[in-house]
Amino acid sequence: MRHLMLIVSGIAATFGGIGSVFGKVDSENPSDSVDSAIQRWISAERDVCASLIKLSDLEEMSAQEIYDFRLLSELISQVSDSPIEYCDSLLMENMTFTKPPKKRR
Amino acid sequence: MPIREKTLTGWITGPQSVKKVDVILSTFKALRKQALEARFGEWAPSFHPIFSSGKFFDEEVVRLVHAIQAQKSDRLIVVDPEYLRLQEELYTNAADLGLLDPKKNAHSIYCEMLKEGSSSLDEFRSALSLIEYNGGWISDMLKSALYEIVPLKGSVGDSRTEAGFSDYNLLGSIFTGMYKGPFPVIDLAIAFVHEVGHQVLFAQQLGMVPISEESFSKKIYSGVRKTERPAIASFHAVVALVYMNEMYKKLIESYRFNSAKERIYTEQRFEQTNSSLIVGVNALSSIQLTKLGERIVEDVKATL
Repeated sequence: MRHLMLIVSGIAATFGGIGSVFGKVDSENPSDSVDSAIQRWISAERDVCASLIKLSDLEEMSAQEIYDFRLLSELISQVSDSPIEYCDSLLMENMTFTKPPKKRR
Repeated sequence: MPIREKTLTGWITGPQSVKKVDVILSTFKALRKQALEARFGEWAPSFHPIFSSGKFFDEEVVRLVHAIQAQKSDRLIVVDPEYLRLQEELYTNAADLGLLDPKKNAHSIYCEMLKEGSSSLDEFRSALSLIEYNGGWISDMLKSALYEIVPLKGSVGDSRTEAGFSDYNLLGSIFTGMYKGPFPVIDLAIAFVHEVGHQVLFAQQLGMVPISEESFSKKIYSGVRKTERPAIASFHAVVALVYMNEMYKKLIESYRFNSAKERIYTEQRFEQTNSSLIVGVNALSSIQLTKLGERIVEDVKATL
């Protein structure tokens, strides 16, 4: 796990470019084979992809796996350096107590 | 012929979810680091949970974070007295968090609880060991998603508050008090993984929310609070419950219980949590989920 973290930390700074490499991901339409957008992303972010998948298995990826890979790519490309305000404001009770706190007297 | 590992399945549970959270959090922390460097130049500290929201970038906070990071070890529970004093100052006074202000809230942080040689520190360490030796991927997730575990006390100074929380604005910090029951270490370990569940979902929310905008404020049943809550809170409850459930399963499967009573207690708690999880997951069928939310729910259902 530590090794994985080091790999991931090392390339994390390049993640800002993922969106442009990958483009707008259409994860509604999983295909049966690894498509060119995924291939481009894998080429650009080979170390990251190697930490997520076995590169030798790419050709054997199922439609579900391709869907998941695209969804993860979409998610990563949307990680922002600014606070996600809609989460802040809509998560009305963001303190998640395992039991309701007693009222302070 | 060996069966190929399903390499990309698992969004909220299993080893693949750990890898996903690693990548998402590394991305976020790298972006935060860039923002800190743009503001503070060479004086920029490395990532600390207090920088999660981006709202606390004042110089006093940065000074405190530097002092804290100088004392911080890579352990989740830090017992160094100077570290604990600085941490208490940061969370209670310097950063205007509200949720940790003893004047406004029923709970406040209680760093004294982790004094070397204290029984409370023993319980914290034992609970972590329980997860480390029995938790498998849950232990890996805990190490990946958490920065620190912060002790809590109640309004009258009681450290056995049985309360814990996580907050979206403090990614990586979980706050928890101790437990009163017959097996407080088991309860504390479960409380830790409950909070890890929230942290995992917070991490995924950095890239995508699990619930569609139109369903966000709809109130649905929460399997934790046993009452109707905003949909996102009830979704969080499901994820926290699945973490508790999976940890109970692992304990029942591999932990060498100290007594038959301890085993029976754990099995009964598992049954209760499992029932709550089933009700909680069913409640999600009345709201509209995003693609992420759907995959998470599929993942949760596969564990039942």
